[in-house]
Amino acid sequence: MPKPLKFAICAAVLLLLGVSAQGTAANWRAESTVDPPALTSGSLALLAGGEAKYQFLELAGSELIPGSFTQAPLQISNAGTVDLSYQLNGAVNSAASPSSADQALAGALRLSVYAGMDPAACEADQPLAGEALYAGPLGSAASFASARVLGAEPVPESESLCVRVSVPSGAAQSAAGGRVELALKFAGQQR
Amino acid sequence: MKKVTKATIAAVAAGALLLGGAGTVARWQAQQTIDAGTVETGHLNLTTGGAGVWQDISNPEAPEPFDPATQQLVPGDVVSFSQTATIDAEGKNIAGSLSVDQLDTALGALEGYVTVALQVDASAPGITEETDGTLTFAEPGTYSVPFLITVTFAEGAVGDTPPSTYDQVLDLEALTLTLDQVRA
Repeated sequence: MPKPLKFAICAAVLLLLGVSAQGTAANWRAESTVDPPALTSGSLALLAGGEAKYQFLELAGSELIPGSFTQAPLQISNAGTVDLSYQLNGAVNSAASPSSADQALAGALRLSVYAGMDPAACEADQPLAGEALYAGPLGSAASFASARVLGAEPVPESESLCVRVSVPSGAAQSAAGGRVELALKFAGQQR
Repeated sequence: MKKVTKATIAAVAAGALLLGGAGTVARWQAQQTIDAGTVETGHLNLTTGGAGVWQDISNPEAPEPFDPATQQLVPGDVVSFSQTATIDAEGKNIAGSLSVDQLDTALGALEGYVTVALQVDASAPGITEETDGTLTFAEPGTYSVPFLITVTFAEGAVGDTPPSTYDQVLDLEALTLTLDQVRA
């Protein structure tokens, strides 16, 4: 390679290096980082008798006759972090294969649900008092006239309901000997 | 060394000294100091003020404070995190470019229910939003650039949002703000 060419190449390389180095070193840069704190989602939980699936043994009644009833208090609680409203979402006979007597009895039974009654009075079979939430037959359409509200703040709220199941005095003879496995379903909804 | 050589060296040295001495004494000299002042460099600073502000803007007409340490998101909530970046640029030919980047936040179980959006306000006087999303300024000055992160938890239909979305932690990715000097 001729010497002039070598010199020219070297000069060009040095010039490029010089220009590049100048560009990198001369410009300023400032950086900042912003790290927002983490967020957490809440939860929604409705409990009956302190459980998600509660076996309401206190309501069990045997040898009920027309004109008699069984009743017991039931605690409904908000166990989540958000205010909720809840509703009775059906009261049905959950027996797998009910007999005709069972079906007749289920059709005859009357359900009453009251709020604001003293649990002890409810347990002692005192007359129903407070706010009537439901009074009518069993069925999947059974629901309160209006949804009940349980807040989450400052502490999760709960309330006691008094649930009564009665055999009307005019119940048909076909209901005699019947058996009903009553399932009350409550549904909570975020407010 | 020969005597003649020694004598020659001595004569040359004496002559040089004589000539030097004559020059110092005989020529005029004047001096003056000129104070050219000092030269300072400018600066390019980027700061973000405070810890930012969280707000519950679920109802845009009536925003409320939101504390992520004690409050939780539920379906239908919209919360925002706002903060302002301040550019302080000084220097005759200073100009700059600000880029704001945020990695996609991992939503986990909230995927499909929660969205995260970043919005940078480029409306400050002197700020121009380029097509690539960077913000530029062409003159020295102080510029404020507010930015907003919005987290939206979609409000589904009744019973539409599954319990798997309960008690989930959403760790928003950090924002990186980079301010580069540019030459016009």
